[in-house]
Amino acid sequence: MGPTFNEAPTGKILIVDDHQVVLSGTIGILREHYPAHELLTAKTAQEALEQLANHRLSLAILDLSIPEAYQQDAKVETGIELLRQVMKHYPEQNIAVQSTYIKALVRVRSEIDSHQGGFTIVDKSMSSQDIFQRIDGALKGFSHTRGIKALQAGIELKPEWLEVLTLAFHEGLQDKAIAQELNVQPSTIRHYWNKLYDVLEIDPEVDKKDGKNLRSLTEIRARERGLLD
Amino acid sequence: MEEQSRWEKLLDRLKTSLWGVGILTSIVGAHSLGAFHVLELMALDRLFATQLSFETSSDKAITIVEIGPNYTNGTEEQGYTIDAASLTEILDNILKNEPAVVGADILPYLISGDLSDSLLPVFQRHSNLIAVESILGDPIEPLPGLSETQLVQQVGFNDLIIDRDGTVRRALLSAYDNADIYKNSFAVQILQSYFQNSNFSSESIELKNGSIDPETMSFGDLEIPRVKVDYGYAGGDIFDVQALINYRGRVKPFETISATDLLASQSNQDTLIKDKVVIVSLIDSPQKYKTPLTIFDRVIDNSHLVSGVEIQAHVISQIIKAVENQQPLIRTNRTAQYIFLLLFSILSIVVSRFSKDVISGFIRLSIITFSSILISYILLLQIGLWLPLAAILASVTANGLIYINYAQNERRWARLIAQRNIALEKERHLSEKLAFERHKTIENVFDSIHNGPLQTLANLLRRSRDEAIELPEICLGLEDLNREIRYIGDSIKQDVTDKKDSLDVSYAGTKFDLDIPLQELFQEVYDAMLSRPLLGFSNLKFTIISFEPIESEILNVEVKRKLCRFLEEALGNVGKHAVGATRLVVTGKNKDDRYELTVADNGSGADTHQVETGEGTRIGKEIEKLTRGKFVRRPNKPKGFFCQLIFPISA
Repeated sequence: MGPTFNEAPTGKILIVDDHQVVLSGTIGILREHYPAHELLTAKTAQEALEQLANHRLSLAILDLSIPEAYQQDAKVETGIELLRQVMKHYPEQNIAVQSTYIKALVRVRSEIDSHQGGFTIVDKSMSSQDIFQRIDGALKGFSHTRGIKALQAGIELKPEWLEVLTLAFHEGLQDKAIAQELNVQPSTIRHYWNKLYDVLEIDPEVDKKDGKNLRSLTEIRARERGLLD
Repeated sequence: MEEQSRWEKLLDRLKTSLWGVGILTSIVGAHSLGAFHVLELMALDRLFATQLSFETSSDKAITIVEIGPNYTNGTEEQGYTIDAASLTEILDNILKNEPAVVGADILPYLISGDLSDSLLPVFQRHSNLIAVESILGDPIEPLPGLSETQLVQQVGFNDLIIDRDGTVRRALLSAYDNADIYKNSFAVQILQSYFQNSNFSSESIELKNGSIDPETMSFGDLEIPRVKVDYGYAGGDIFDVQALINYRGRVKPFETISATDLLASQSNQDTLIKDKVVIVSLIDSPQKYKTPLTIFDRVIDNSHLVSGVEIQAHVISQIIKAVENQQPLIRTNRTAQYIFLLLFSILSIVVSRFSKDVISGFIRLSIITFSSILISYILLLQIGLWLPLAAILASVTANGLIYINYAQNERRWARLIAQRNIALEKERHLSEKLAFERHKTIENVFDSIHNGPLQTLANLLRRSRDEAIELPEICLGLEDLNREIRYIGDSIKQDVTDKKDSLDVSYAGTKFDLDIPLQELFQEVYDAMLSRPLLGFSNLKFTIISFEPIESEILNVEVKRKLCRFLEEALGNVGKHAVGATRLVVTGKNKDDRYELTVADNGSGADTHQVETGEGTRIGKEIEKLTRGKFVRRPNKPKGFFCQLIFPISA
């Protein structure tokens, strides 16, 4: 279910970036907001995969333009491949992609949409406040991938998500019943909801703070956008 | 085709074997005309000379007694004569030691003095004493005063037949004299007498006509091979009964002793006369002859020339040995000649024709040549068969050389043709590849133009017809068009230099690497298409999009390229025709062993007729063929258009 604020959340966060300056900046932001978390770093794709294998991480913050190993050139392709590996082997890992080349994520869009963990996209040019919000969203399992949607496609969504909407608001089913109907795990339904919040531009943290009911807001938005007749 | 080439091969075989037949025919023809005769005789001489060096033992059956100056009159220059009394003394001395037969090879004109008292009674007493006469050329009458019986039994002609090269190879055994009286030679008379007195076998060995060849003579069962046309001698040379002399042993294998030495020593008389053939002659007979053995002796002086009496001894010796020891007499046979000639010729043709290279061809040819010589030699030695060795060698060499050359040429041709075929094959591959590349490039460029600038142009046209566009927007649109068209040109040039497979997307001004997974390519194509300012996309409220991963080995780069073009085209059609569409479905799903790629909208719906003749159908057909899939286009319900490609993904 939705994330809750614990007094002192703990866990491990991996930051992957080959630029020391960016690394330091990100670490600064994270130290400020997650004093209790252990911060790990990696500068290459190989290192990152080792860290992922050795630790159970609450969040992985990945850069796209990184080298495969030391002494090699940084390439976006390497970062994309690392992302593919992470999504494939750790399907529930929370991920935040921090890059200046977020357009490169378009082609792994399908995998991102299917990824069950949190997934947010952070543009390096954003303000510290925004960066933190995205990272925090990912840490809490939410999705924010609107930066890579196609220009005129309207709301992009997977067929299953539309079914969740229909079953919830036309049939009035609860998550458990929807899961049975779709023959999937309840956790998958939660993941679908998170994706729906993302495409309907609902920011769970912000909107909840504003006292809004996420499900009701979803229904209203879906009807507005023509997803529900 | 197959049949024809088999015929051609057969014809070729026949043609090439014609050379061999030609050579063989000429050699057989030349041989039968006697062209090889001199060479054959030389070859025979050579074989005799070789044979000679093996046989060293002397012939103990014959003793030659030479009557020297002690008993003779005259000088070396004028020739010697002998007194009848002296000759009688010598003959009496020899005869009392019981020789098998005594031959006096002294022509009557060389004997002086009174015969009736001394010499004639000796002939009377001893029927095993043989005298000579001459019947060829200027005949020389036998000793006057001999009786009829003595003339028939105790006189033989000692004429020799000399070949054109001055060599004595034949012995004349019996002949008709000028008065047409059939006479035996000196050697035959000696042999007759020898076999009558010898105790070699229980039955006496009698002289009679041959049973196989009635014209020849035979001693008991031994038929003397008569020289016939087969032997290569010209017709005029062949008359009466002639036989080839088998010069075995050394040049002078016979015990030769002077009359003085013989009469002086009783031990000599004991060992050299009893039961032997003793031939008496005057020393230094004026006439000396060449034998086959002489030719190959490098000695310049006349020591290897032989006297007439020695040749007579050779003739006598070989027939005695033939009867008593079954030693072969020299013979030949036309059939055997041709069989061997043919055999060796064919053998040489076969080994040369099928030799692997020149060197092995020559080695094989040498082996054939050597074995032909060896076989000739062994046959001559063992059964006295005389083969036409010169003709065989000529045929083997000529055929061998020609067919080695032929095989070499054939191999060179085969090599050249193989090289040419490889080159042609390479060229064909190259041109096929070029044609394929060209076709691919054209198709690719066409797809790029069709899915890029043409779509932009169509959009512009429609909006200007609808008058829904302002001039600045038209300008922007034209700028887009300009950029897109230029991009296609640049991109083709780039492709040529990069040699990398990519999908160029002119409207997005970018290239997609065709090596990345297909679903990612789909996603990129989708994203690029939806970025275009096309009418059909302008009212979209939401898009259902999902590309499931596709894993299949059958998807090569070209198939991937075409699938992307297909998606591009389908989405382009939505952009062009689906005016007012609010929903778009773009999905790729794995279903069983197939993949379903679907593009559906709820727009105004395209004119079916227009669609079916359009570019979309062409790509649809191509992709169906390429993926062995099925392409469906139909109106969507309740409105809009539905387009789907289902293709198998298991190999």
